[in-house]
Amino acid sequence: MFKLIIVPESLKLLFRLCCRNTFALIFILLLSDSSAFAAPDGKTLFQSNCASCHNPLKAATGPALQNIDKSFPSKEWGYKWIHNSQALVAAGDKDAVAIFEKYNKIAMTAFPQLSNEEIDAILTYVDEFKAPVEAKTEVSGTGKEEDYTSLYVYITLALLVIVLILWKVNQSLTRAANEKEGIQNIKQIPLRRHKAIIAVSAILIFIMAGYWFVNGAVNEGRQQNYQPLQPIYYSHQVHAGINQVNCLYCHAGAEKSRQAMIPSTNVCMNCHKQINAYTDNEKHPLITAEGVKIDGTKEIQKLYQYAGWDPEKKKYILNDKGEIATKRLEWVKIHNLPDHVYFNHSQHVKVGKVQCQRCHGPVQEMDEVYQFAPLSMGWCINCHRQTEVQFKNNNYYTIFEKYHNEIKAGKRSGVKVAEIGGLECQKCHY
Amino acid sequence: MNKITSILLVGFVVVFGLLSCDSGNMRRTPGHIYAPDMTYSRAYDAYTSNPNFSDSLTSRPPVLGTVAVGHQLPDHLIEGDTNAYKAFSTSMKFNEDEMKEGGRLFNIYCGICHGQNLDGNGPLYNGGNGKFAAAPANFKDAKYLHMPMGVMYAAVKFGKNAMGSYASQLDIKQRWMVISYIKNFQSKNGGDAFTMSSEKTNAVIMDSVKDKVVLLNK
Repeated sequence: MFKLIIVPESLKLLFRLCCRNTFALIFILLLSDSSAFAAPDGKTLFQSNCASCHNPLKAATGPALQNIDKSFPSKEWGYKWIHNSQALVAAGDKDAVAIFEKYNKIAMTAFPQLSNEEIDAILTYVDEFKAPVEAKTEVSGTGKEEDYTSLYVYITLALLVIVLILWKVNQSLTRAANEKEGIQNIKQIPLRRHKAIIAVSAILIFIMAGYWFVNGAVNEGRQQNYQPLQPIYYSHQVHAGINQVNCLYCHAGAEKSRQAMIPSTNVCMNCHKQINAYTDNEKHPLITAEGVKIDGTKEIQKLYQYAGWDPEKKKYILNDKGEIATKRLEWVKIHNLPDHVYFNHSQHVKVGKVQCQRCHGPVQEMDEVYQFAPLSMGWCINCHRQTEVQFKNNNYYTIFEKYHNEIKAGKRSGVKVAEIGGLECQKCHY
Repeated sequence: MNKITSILLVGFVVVFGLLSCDSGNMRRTPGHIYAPDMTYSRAYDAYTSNPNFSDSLTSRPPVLGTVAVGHQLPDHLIEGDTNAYKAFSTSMKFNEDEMKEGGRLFNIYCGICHGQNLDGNGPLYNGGNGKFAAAPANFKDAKYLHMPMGVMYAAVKFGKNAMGSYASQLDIKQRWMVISYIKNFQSKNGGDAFTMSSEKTNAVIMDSVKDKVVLLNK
């Protein structure tokens, strides 16, 4: 029971030594942890230093970086280039000058703060980077519900023909039977002289002609479903739907002025300086209403011609006066209100807080935009009768004191556009 | 027999004529208009071509040296003058509602790249998997936390690196509202103290509007 564990002298000594130098030991461990063992994180370093100009796989402001270290003359040269590329160029290094010339003399930012290990980590990360594989979503078999209207029409027509044939067969069989049995047949009147048939078809023609005539006259000048061919196949679905660009990003005028503003090419170039190819052909092929396939990348090239952008040199082409050599890009206007109607976008979008889609329809699902609403007067008036004005937190309506007081007193739940003059003729016609 | 063939022929032509008119509701032409001069403006309208100018545009920039009513005075920044950017600032102050508006504008015009969380990861970049190859600025990053607001303003006005100019989409006040939104966000995430806040509440402004209306009515 009282047996002491005999500890060898040497071990005891070591233990004492350790106890005395605990602090030193901890210090050494800490130091080794930060310098020797933890490799610098290539991904983080890449994201915070390089990613604003480089992408591992795609050319951005600078070239794609994957395997770029294999093209360095030597490892040391690579460090020097990254630490200060301009110094290398200035010193007349042959390779450095060649690269500088190749990339249109765009100077790369110097990174003297990066250590050689950190640069190695970045290069390893970049070389090992793989394009993310997107999980393909299975498209379920139930597609759109099919439209059977035309099928019903054909079935009805076929049945009518059968009825007519059977009736004729029945008639001639009866006549044949009558002749055999010696009963006299009633004198036959041809169909086109049959009084009942003439009367029915006359009424039918009158009704249908009247319907077509009135409808045609009413729709004269209305352009619902108008879907013109545009100079560039610009898909609103790709931009506003798939890539989630806000409507107002391009149509910034909708909040500020009468016109929603068709963006000038500089707005397109905000993104398309970088995005120079359409890559979603499999997920979302571009097809015109006539069924013609469109090459999105070619359409972007068209934009470059209008915007005066040189995609090779990544620079605007300047003319003799030093201005950007743009070409006029004439989009076809789709929504044409008659000249005698005043319509103001900012009044509806900013003050009325009406969503774009309410009048323009699901634009984010249209490849080629068409006129969704009839834009008729009845359509305007109907909305003015039904829509409630946003009275709360809206400085624009502070002067309608009576309505505000009535709302406060609980006499009224809301105010319709019609109640603040939305049906007055001169509101829109003046 | 001759009669029947002719009837069939006419019927055939009529039916196919009608069918060819049905283009599945899609129309490439605007159609006939009864009174074109009442529909299409005789006067030059914003989008109509104008023979009086060599570029045939009806919408003109303001005359040099003038400022439109209700617009801010010009900022006199020159593109590329980075020292001027750093010194540039504004005396504008924004209340809570205006800052909210700045956030809304940020989400519309900037969020697509810089992300609605201001982390430089908008839908177009999407962690490097998006359409945009270059990473947009992450406003939480140390590089941008202490960036002078004049430099940000210049980036919005002239563009910077891969970013284009937003001068045609955001007017001067809107640019500052967006920057105040970013700066306010950064001040809560380790950046400098926020200096653009105004004590004026919306109610005060509304009262002043009311006063003006009363004055006008008198």
